[in-house]
Amino acid sequence: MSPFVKSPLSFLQYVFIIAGIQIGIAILSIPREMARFAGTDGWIAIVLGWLITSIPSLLTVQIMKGSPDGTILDLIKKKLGRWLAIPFALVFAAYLGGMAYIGLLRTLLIIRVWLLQNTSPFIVLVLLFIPTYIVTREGTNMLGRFAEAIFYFLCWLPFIYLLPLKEGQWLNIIPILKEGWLPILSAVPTVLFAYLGFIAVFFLYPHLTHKKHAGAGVLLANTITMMMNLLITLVCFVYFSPSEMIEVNQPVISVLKTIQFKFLERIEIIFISLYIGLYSLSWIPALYFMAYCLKWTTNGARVRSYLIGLLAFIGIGTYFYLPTFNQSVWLEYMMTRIGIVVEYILPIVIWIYLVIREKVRREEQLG
Amino acid sequence: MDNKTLTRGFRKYRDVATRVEPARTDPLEVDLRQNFEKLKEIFSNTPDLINRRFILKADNRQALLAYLEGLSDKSSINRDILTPLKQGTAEINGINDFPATIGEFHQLTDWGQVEHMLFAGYSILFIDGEKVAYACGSQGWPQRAIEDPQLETSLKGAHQGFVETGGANVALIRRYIPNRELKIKQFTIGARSQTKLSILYLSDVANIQTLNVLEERLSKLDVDAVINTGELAELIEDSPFSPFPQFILTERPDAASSQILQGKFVIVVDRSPSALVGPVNFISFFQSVDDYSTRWTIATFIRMLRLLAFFIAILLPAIYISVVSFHFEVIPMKLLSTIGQSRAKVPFPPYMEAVFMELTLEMLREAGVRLPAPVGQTVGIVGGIVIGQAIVQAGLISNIMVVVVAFTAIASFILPNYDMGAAVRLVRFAMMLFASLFGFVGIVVGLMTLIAHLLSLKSLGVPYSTPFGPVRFRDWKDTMVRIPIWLMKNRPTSSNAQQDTRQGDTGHPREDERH
Amino acid sequence: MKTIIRGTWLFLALIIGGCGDKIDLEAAAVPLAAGIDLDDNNQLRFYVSNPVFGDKNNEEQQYNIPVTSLRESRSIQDAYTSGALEGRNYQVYVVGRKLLQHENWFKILDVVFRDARNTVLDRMVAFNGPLEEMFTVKTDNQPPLPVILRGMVDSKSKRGATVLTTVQDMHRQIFEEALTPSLSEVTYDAKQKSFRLSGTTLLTHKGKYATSIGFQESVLLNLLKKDATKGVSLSFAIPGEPNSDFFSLNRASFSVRDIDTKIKSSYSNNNFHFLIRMKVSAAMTEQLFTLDIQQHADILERKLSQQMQKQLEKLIRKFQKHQIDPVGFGIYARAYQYRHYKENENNWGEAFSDAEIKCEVKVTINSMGTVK
Repeated sequence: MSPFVKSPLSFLQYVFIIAGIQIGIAILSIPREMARFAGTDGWIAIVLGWLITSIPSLLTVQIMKGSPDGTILDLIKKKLGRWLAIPFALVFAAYLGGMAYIGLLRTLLIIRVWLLQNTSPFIVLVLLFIPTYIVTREGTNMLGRFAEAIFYFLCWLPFIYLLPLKEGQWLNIIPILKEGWLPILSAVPTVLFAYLGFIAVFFLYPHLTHKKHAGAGVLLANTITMMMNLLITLVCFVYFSPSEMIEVNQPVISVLKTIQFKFLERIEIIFISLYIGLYSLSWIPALYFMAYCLKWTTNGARVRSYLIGLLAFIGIGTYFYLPTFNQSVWLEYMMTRIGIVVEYILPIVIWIYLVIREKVRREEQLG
Repeated sequence: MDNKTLTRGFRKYRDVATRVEPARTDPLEVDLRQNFEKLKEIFSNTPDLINRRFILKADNRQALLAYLEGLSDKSSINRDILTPLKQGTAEINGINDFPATIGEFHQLTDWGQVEHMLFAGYSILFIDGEKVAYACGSQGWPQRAIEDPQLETSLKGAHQGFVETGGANVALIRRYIPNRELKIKQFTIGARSQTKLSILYLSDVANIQTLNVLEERLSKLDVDAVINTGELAELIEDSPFSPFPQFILTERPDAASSQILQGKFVIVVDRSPSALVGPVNFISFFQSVDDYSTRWTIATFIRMLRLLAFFIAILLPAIYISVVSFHFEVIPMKLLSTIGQSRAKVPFPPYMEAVFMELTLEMLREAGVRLPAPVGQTVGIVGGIVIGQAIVQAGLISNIMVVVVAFTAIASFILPNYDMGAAVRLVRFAMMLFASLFGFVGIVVGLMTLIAHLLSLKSLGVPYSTPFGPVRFRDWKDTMVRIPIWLMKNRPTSSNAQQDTRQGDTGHPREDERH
Repeated sequence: MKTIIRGTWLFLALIIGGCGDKIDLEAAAVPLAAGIDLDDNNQLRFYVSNPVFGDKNNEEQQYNIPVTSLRESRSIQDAYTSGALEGRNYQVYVVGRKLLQHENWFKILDVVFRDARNTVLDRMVAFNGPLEEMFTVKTDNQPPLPVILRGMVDSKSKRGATVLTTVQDMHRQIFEEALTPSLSEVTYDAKQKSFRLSGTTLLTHKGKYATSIGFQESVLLNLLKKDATKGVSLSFAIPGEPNSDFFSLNRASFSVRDIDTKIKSSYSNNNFHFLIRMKVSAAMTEQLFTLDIQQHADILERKLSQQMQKQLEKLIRKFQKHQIDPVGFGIYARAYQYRHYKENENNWGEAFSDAEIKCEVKVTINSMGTVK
């Protein structure tokens, strides 16, 4: 039995893995970044980004249609040969590694600022590695189930954001397009960061049980991400005044600080803790795919041994050096740029290549 | 067999050299005297072996009836074997027309069979001049009457529990499912114990692949003895390191039957008063027979209550620890002063307080379980008074902690399944450790680990946490909620049943009258 | 076996590394009220009220500490208390009048927002007097200071008699150019030896004290801000009705059943114009003069509307005089007159004082109570 059939993914699991990566990596920074670039009109950029993302994500699915029983690496190997596939695998591995690292780093820094100020980040990292390892060692199927479970467990979380609304000021948002389209357009490249992660399609497609819904699935994932970002960004804009919005470092969390129940104060403490579950959806799949790429490159036997190596590497690295908040923001900017190349441009290039190749081959057959 | 091998028995049971001698294959003799000698040789030092020599009335031949005292029913032997043979005049014409008035009858040809049958409680009849022996089904051993199940009491369910006889247990299940599709596969496990197992399933419902997995695991099994169903469960479960039970052990025939009807497999182990049900999922440990005989709204409420209790039992002490020693900012002002005042006198840090109290509770519980009922009550009273009052007055433990512990204890007793309750208690301590080190972060990571672990578990190759991961909304009808029985048309997908829809066609009971 | 060994290592590592942030409740000092003010020598002083967990109920420890910055104050505070001081549970944050006389005092509170562990939900209260008074008074037979103050602010703000401004709200109001901050105001009544909530303190955009308003005006302010919950109560003297010597008999009071406030903004003649339309449906709660409501409800409605309108205009005039905008007219200006607002963004107070504001109030009586 092929490994892909043995580890099947249902439609929703596939959607949740992709949406998990997208949301986990960017949900915290998007409202602030949007406010920085486009003021209270930033939410329009989120919708624009969603429209733009549909194209490469659909192309990604289109590419994978040619490879129902192999990942992108198998596809490239089939079309271009193994030696050209290896650099691709390494690029993907490096990119995914970066993504996983940023996700982890974000979580560590958030925990450090908001929850455990005196605990060594290294120890927190070791703690986080426990569920990470348990999930990743089981493979794609487990990724899907975990993403699904976390999503259902935390699906009420966005609704909490409706509570600060009653103190908010909807008038903050109008007039729409107060400074014209220019600031909004300038925010679009940054907003794409929120949609990075549909690269997972490259690795998930062969596992899908209903392959014909793959395109709809990736669009659904994008939409979930968009709705989530839109909701939280709008709540932040409505709650904070335009000038305060830029002043606050993590508006997404600060806005929770104002919620108070009779029986519970400071619920943001609980929420930030729960957020760890959401963030984990970004680094867990990314780490797994990275390990998979490395395994594929070296023809290794088990993804698991690469995983242990990777975890150890990140752990030791963190023990000696942990980037600061500013550096992590810089890393995010870099990631956005690289991500645009890898996730937005690369699929288009591959797709064009495949189309031309197919045409040439057909003409040859005819001729 | 030499003594050495006996003493080394358990540790090396896998070692071929020291295993029990292979079954004898030497044939029986024609001469009764020779057979008698041989019998005495094989069963040396077996005082409970009774040899009754007598003369057949029909043809005046010598005969020998051998049986193990205690495993046989003496009155049946007297009435149905000895009396007709000694007094009846009918001749013995082979096995098909034997004068003994007993139901079960076998013809044996070698000593291996004789040995086996003797231990199974049959009485063996040797007749001079015949190269075969006859085994008469006169089994009868000390047996308990069928009683109310001890562990899984039920308010409205049947009051018959399994007993220690496999055959009787199978019969109890058959009473619920008198259907020809109910198949029984028998295995014998245990080199020494020769325990008989019967797998019961509905052949047109249950999934064949799962059956194959189960059969493969059972046939690979090579152990010295299986005394109890619990041992068997541990030998064939998927993840031996997990704290969670991966099979349901039930002592209720009605529960076992309803599982069979869902497409599951039930293993009845001879000599053990509980049956093993598999493949199971996490949520089935929260279902009880009574759920189906109470009104569905109430059953749903109780289900939710149990799930809530599960989380309380796992998390409450951990939350207490992390709130008091990490995040006291979440406590509202009024509660803060209450907790502060009750904590002020206590010399221990919260986690020590919690561990101490939880351990005391566990000890009380364990002490109560093994003691005879009247003494057990005393333990409860002493524990309640000493722990509830004296310890607080002495300033050793805070009031709030006592409340937390009491809450947790009640919550963990709500879980209908004993094994799951035990697992919950274990997980609780792990959570407390996480919480005392990292506060809420520890709890959330602990929960994530728990979820990941539950998701990775399997029972007989079927995902343990269905219908929650992988999500199967269709199966949610009998999980957190229990929808009315007349709406439960389909068998749960988790058992991969071949026949998906239950038989019968009743919709809403009063549907026809409405029109 | 490998799993077990690995698990043991992990376990040990976690045990050794964890616990860094543990601080048990009883080992921490959790002050519930904090205050800052300047003393007679213009030295910044920090006040805390700290519950002592012990046998006696409601015992409070109170300190007043000279500081230059609040963060520094923490280590000084630690010296006074038996536990490590944690600013996570403040219920109220009191600011003295003397400090309020200075601009930009809010910047001192930076530590409250920068340290994520601090609460931002503590009610901010302006104290009309020197803070030292507040923190030295022993209120016998009364709940401790933080409990009283918070209770006062919470319950009165629900009735509209003051505003509920948490530290977080204060931060928002300071950073919102289109709005000026307002705080609940408390005074000490030396005769009755108790604290009294006296209304609302209004600050300028930079946080300097501008003026104070009483209960009725606070209610009107809340109505304008659309913050008033149903059930707030207003009372008016109706002119032309006979009055007695010692007590006023010309008063009518009602509680607001339903309110619909609409604020429209426009810009012309280099000035902002605001039109406030308020529709109030009232339930009479008090009417000391004789008037048959059943017959002449319209007369009473008209009179009430006039009075309310008058008071509103007076209140707004007051705002304009002090160049403050606690209502947030600027937000309307920003939303609907964006370009013009942008020009005046940095001195909105001034622009607002020149604005032309019209009120239209319509009171309808929909219940007259149990007697005629």
